[in-house]
Amino acid sequence: MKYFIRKFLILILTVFLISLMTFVAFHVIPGDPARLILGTSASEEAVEALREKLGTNMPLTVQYRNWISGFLRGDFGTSIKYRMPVASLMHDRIPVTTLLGVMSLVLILLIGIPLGIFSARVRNTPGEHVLNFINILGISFPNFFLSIIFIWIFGLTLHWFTPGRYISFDRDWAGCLRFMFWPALSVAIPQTAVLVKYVRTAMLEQLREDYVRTARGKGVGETAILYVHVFKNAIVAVVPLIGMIIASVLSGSIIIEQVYGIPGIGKLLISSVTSRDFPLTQTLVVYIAVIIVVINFLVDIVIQIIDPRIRLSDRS
Amino acid sequence: MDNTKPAGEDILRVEHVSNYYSDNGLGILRNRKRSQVLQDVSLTIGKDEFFGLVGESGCGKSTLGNAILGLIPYEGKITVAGLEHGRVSRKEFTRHIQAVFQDPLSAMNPRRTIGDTMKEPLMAHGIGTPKEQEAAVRAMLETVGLDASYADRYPRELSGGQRQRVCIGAALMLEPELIIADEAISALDVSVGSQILNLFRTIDVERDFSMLFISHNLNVVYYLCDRIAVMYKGSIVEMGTADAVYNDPMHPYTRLLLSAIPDYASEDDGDRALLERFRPPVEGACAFYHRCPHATDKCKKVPELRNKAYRGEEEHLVRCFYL
Repeated sequence: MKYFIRKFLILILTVFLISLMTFVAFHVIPGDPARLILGTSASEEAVEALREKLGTNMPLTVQYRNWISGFLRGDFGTSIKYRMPVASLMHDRIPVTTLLGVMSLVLILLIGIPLGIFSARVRNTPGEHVLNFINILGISFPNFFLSIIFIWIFGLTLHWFTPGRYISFDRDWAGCLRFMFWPALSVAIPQTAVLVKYVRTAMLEQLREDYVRTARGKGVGETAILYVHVFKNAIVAVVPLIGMIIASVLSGSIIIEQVYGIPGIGKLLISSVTSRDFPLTQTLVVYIAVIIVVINFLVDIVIQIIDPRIRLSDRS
Repeated sequence: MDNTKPAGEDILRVEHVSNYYSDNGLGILRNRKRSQVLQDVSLTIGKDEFFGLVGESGCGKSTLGNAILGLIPYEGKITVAGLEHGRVSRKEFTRHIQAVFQDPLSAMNPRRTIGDTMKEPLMAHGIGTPKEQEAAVRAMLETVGLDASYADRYPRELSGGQRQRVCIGAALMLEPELIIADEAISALDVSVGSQILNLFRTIDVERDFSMLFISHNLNVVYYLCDRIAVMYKGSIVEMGTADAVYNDPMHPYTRLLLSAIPDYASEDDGDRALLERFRPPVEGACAFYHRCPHATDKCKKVPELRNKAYRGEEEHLVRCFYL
């Protein structure tokens, strides 16, 4: 429990620091939003008036306080480019990105864990080398390159999906999943390869443990050893990686959304950066950072629950 | 080698077993070194007999234990209760032979309860219903001196001695004919270790099983075992009844081992000089050649293990030209 509270306080502190750093960064980089909105031909008076309206003429500390207090109330400001509340812009896009992320994660776990176990099983056989080779390919290909290949082969050549035409989940959920499978797979493949390598290493590490020797000595079969003993201990070592994988999936989907034309958070972020839409960019960066911090917090809690050794040290 | 007992009574027969360790080096830079760990080891353990195997670390005593358990490859022949490893399935083999290792904590899966760990041999061999298995675990916990409630605990919650009791209990679950105890008390405190030794003795009275007790401590082995073999650099240099080897050591190495045991009653430490390295090692010489104070040119060959029993001893084998 003490551990939980300490972790939670660290979480709050991290989120605060992220918001502060994001805010400072966006006010240090050159570019005046008011000037940007009105264009270079606008008069100095008009620009000044707009600065007054946007609040960008106030001291930074006041601006930060206003921004944070608005943030806590769910008021993320107004997008300069879209002339709309940031909150409503995000409202439509968060489900899209969440769907992409969840689909990628499901693919990563569904492919990565069994393949990791399998590659531990085929250790010291020719199959090991084949798997290692495929794995290195998977790790080395950037996911946007995979996306382009997928669009070319499965979209343009085989017509399994129409590139660039996103289908909304509400209108046609099956069509949406069919379309989203490809971007999700593009995001998933490099992460899957990392997971396979990690699971394999964790399994092989456990296989060297003394209790495996004991289990063999008791007459337990090799399959039972792998699943009953080794896998359960190996997965404990793999859970911390899940937090990192989720972070990579999020950052991966930023580019992938752009490539496939998916109207999600990532696409919004890129367009907000190119148009110097400060309120929007700030909010999105903090939003993504908070998600990653919270997920890592949850992973820590899960590790607490599944690892009997840590659980015990807490009890005594 | 000579066998004083008829073959049928032997639980374990180790015949001319050798084992090599090859160092594969670094891929293409490999420089294959083949070093011999076990050199033509032969021994037998009879029914209900406790056999002690002594030697310093790295002498190959644990390697022999692992070979007998079928955990590592070897040359030669090992039969346990008449079964040869490789001829029968490992599962079948494990019904007759079980092991207790040095570190009881790492020998148990940290994520499984004591009950699960002890039940596992029965489950692996499909013995009994779940209820019967539970009952067997509770009974065994009491046999090894623990409360039946320990079944629900995790290895981390137990003390070192309690953990080793659990491992011994788990090894006994299948009622094997042979138990290999590899440095089973070396990781424990002296007082806890002697409790475990006494536990072995108590269980020996109640049950029929033979044991190969591997240790670096000659005192411990003398206390527990009926017969002793002393191993040096992969070969047995002396073997006989516990009394003969302990009270009348013949081989220079056995005498050295005994002198390495602190004995505050005697001020005489003449044999300790043996600890010094005497001469550079020679390929193909007697294993003890470089450390032996009595070695001559004759010792540049490997001596046979010969029976030097006298004064009514049953057997007392020594590997030395000068005895």
